[in-house]
Amino acid sequence: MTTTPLPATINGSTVNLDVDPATPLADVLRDQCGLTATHIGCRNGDCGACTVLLDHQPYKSCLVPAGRAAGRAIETLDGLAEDDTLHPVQQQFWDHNAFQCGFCLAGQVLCTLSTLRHNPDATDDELTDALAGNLCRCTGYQQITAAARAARTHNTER
Amino acid sequence: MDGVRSVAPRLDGDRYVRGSTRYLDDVIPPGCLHVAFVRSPHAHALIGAVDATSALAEEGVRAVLDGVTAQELIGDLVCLLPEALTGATGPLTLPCLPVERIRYAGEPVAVVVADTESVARHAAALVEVDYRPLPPMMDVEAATMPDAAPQHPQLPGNVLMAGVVRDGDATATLQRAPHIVEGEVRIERSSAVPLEPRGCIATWDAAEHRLLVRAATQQPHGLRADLARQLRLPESDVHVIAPPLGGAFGFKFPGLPEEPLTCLMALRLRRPVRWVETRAESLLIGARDYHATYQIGCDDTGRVSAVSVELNADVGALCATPGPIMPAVAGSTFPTGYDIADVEVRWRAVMTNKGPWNGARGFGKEATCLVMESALDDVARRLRLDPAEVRRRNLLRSDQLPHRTSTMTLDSGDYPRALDMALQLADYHELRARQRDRQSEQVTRLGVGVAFELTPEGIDYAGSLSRGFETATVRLDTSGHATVLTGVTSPGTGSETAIAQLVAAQLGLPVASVRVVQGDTDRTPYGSGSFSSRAVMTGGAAAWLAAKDLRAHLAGAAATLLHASSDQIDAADGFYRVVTDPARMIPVGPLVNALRTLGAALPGLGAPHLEVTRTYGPQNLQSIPDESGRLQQYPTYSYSVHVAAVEVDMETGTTRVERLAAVHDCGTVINPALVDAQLHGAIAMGMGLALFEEERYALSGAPLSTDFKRYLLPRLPDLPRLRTGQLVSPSPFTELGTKGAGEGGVGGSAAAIIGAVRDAIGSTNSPVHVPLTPARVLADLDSRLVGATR
Amino acid sequence: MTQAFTRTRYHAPATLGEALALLTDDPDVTVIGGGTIVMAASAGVPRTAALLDLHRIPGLAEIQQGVTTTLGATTTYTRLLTAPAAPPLLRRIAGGITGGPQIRNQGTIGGSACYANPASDIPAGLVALDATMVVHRQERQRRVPARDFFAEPFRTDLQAGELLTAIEIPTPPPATRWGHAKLKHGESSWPIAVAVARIDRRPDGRIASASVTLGAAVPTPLTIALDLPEHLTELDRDHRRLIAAAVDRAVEQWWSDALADDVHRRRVGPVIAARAVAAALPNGHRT
Repeated sequence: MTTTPLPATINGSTVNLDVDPATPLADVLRDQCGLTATHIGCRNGDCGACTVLLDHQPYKSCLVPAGRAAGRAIETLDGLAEDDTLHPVQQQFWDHNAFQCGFCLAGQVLCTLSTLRHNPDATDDELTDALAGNLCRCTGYQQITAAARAARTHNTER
Repeated sequence: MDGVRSVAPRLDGDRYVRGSTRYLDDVIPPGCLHVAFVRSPHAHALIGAVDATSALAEEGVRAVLDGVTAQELIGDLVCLLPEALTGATGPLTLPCLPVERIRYAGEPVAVVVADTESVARHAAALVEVDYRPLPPMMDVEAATMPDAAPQHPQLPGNVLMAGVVRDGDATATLQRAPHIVEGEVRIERSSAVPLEPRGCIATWDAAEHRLLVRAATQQPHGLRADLARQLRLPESDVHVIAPPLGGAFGFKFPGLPEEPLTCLMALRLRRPVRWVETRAESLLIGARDYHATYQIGCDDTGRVSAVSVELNADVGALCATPGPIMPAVAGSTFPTGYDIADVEVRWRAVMTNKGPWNGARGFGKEATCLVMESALDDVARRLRLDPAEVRRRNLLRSDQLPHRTSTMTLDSGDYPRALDMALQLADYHELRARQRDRQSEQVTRLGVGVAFELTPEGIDYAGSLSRGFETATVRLDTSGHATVLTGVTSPGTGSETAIAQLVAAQLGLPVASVRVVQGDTDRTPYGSGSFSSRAVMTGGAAAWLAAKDLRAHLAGAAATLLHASSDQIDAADGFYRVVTDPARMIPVGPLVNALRTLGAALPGLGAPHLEVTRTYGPQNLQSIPDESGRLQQYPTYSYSVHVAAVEVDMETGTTRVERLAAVHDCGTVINPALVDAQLHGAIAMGMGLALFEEERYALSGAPLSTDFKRYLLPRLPDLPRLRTGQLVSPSPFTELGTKGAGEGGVGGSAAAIIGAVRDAIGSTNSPVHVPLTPARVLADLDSRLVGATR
Repeated sequence: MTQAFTRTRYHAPATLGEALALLTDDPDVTVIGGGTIVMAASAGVPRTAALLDLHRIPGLAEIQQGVTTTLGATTTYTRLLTAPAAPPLLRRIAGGITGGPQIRNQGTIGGSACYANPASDIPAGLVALDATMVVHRQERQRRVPARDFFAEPFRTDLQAGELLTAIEIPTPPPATRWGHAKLKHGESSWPIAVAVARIDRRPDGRIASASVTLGAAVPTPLTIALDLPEHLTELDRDHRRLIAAAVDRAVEQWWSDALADDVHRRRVGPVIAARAVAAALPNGHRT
């Protein structure tokens, strides 16, 4: 198999992986890096469970060829918390009971986070739009919405 | 129970939001091999030879197994359906891989094992199967034709099960009824569709002679029993772990061939073997596909006297999951919560060449709800009555409960009050006023729908492994923690949080001091897993009782150590104290240590009894028919009332849901946040059922809904903010007074939305066709226009 | 039985020249702008033996504004939403793409155009804008009007060895007004009908010409000239019916797919077209 080196930053750490560049980034993160918070729900770009941030922007990593991530800053859900402290968005999701099975959390949390980074005063409609790409089969989206909105006022950004 | 009820945060919530929860596919053993299945492209075919030569020649392919070989190596799947309903003599069995006949497009024909999933799938495409296609039977009519090819040797007519549910004499009463309305409801095929697909990772431990199985399953013990039987291993040599699931909703019962075959390959190859299905494969499975015709009789005031229903279910290809029993449940749930003495339901479950069924939230009861609510809307239209008023006039009142039918005992509840609360929550009168004031030339029409859903819960399905009993062990340690070992699992609902609350309350511990262990057949007592909203009702109650026994031991020990009497001891926040002199106290950790080290040695101190196991089941179960032929397989009856307001675009047929309100009663509530969240999810699922979800097939029998662009699920922009409320009428029959939360809300919200759409477009007596896609809405409109011009 | 691939080759050329050479040398190659279409694999198997990823080629993702606005083929939907130079109509279309910001960040205007899925938004938008597709091959380039580029469902005018590199959008006269309407079946659905209306007015305000370009409801985008009253400022019900009838007459074949058949699209396509026209009028539509 031909692999190519993939220099990147993953959750703040510089890495130089050897990847098959056509492999979906989701599989590289899960299988090679052990970062399993990025889940596979459809492999079709529909469900959003595989969402990661590349240079602060959300992408569905099941659709991103790993070669595309060269030189980018990759953030995954499992890299968000700093040791004992949850990221404020994560804390809001827990406080608002904004998950049930948790499988869709990567997309819900990272899309909320990314929106608020660029637009801390995002309107309700903007938050709804930000989350429209993420399917949830458990919650009916109610508590997810509450958590995302609450994250506006509890946003101590990093 | 008031002391227990609280919005305790999700146990392990920290792990969930960090993304460190390990689901099935997140832990892959080193050296693991991967399974892909060769799946039939034909819906119906005879199988000739299976040639794996090319596949086996591919680098990295370790094994290919077909049906002929498999039948020597692995036992059949066994369908646990009551013989009284199937009419078959003996249980219905199915080989894991077919030898003679393909029964659905996508049916596994052979299993391929390779070094990577990619190689396995590639090799699967190279396996050559000699298929001899036959005409596919894609609906009930085709499958029940006199010359239809039998799909199972013991069921020549392709009718899997049939039954009649009868109370009183519906035929006679209908003949006398001043008004009879006939109607039809067609519910297209749909499924539970959790976000995480099914999967299984099996490892044979040669040193211990044990099979370790991690599987995305709702029933680890049930799966263990099946695997032990099929693989001819002692049950105690099979260890099944159900990791946290990414949702289940009935989709992850055992009874399909992939899990046993994966385990077989692990045994044969002496390597760990992994199988995870694709999204397209997950969408092969169905869980609803009904056609009902009915007659409902009423008087001039809209009081219903009788209902007669014919219900046909297309259950696809036979399999061993509990899915195919759902039409029986649908039949048994009539006439839901209405005061209708004369009821007759003739139901059938027919096998066709669509994919097999697994369970789905509602478990058939959502179909009952859709039919009943359609019928009541018909009554409202016939008599020009408000649909809410028709519900009010027909719902059983509290003073009429308990109300016994041939299949149910509705023991407690206040249905009319729930109706009033839901109408108020929805601002029903404001909606109707707005509707009246709406200009008729506007392109969109406002419609309002009301629906009552009865949700029998906690099923005790005697004869199967899905029982109404649960066992829990509670044990204490010197860190002051309690550990609960429970046979229930959680598909992601967080029920373990409520169980922890219960045990914490009994033992006087903070909730965070309680650990809950579930989903592990080596560690937990035998249990039935997760379904029918039973985790807290049954599992929680068993844990509650075990904790109660433990508390008595602890209180007695504390009394001795604190020189008080047992009735003076209070427990809270991890301390056991003398009520009258709180300075005299002992923390739980040291108390446990004292019992361990000094139990039965110190005078007054009991034996070191630090672990209690209790089995619990509600007392009102009845699986053997009584002298009147009545059963009671559900110990509790939750219910909900739903109100929906929609705007329907009359030119395009599209529906926008503007408002959804629901009031539910699931008896005693332990954690309101968890229960409310369940209702939210059920309502969203009901919207999906009402407007979007359909597993479609080509005429050839090929499935068309192969991804989420084609099988449409509701997204955040589709949902209005949900208005939910609660009524609490405790069950007199369960230990905690709970009635079961989690399943309820799908049928009711679907029926309310459908009623609202039909209200908006002014449907008269057209068939209800679910999902109400824009094309179907327009067809309904067109049919009325045609009728109007005659 | 379709050929399945165990492994997909990956090329990410740094220059257009390299890309064109690869196109000629590797006949199995599938070009990706974003990758959202080609990387989709709900059946678990890759769709192509080789990927040609354009993301490294400088200039392909840029927008240049002039008398003509030139959009690089790998301009993403997000860029269309955020770049001041993006044509307003395309900004509006980009905002309605299904799949959330993730798909908008990754999907490209060129990728959508070259896929030529009838049930999509971009082709109709480009045809309505009178776009010109800039096509490169080794040795030369050519320009194709958008209306000729979309040859058939899922087939464009691109020949073997050719690459779409840019899309040129002429700047319309200042008095031109656009209207856009789109129909989906809920948030998860792909487009059922898309319409872009264009109304050009004389200096005195009278309508000089009007058309509506229909997409998603038809196999390839179709522009239909409309005969509107000169002083029209809003559509009433009769106007909408006339427009719908004109659209119905003009369409020979309606598109049919898993979410809506041709009968349904014939029913709703003209309605959406009329709504697009209303959106291009100062007073919109009244009931």
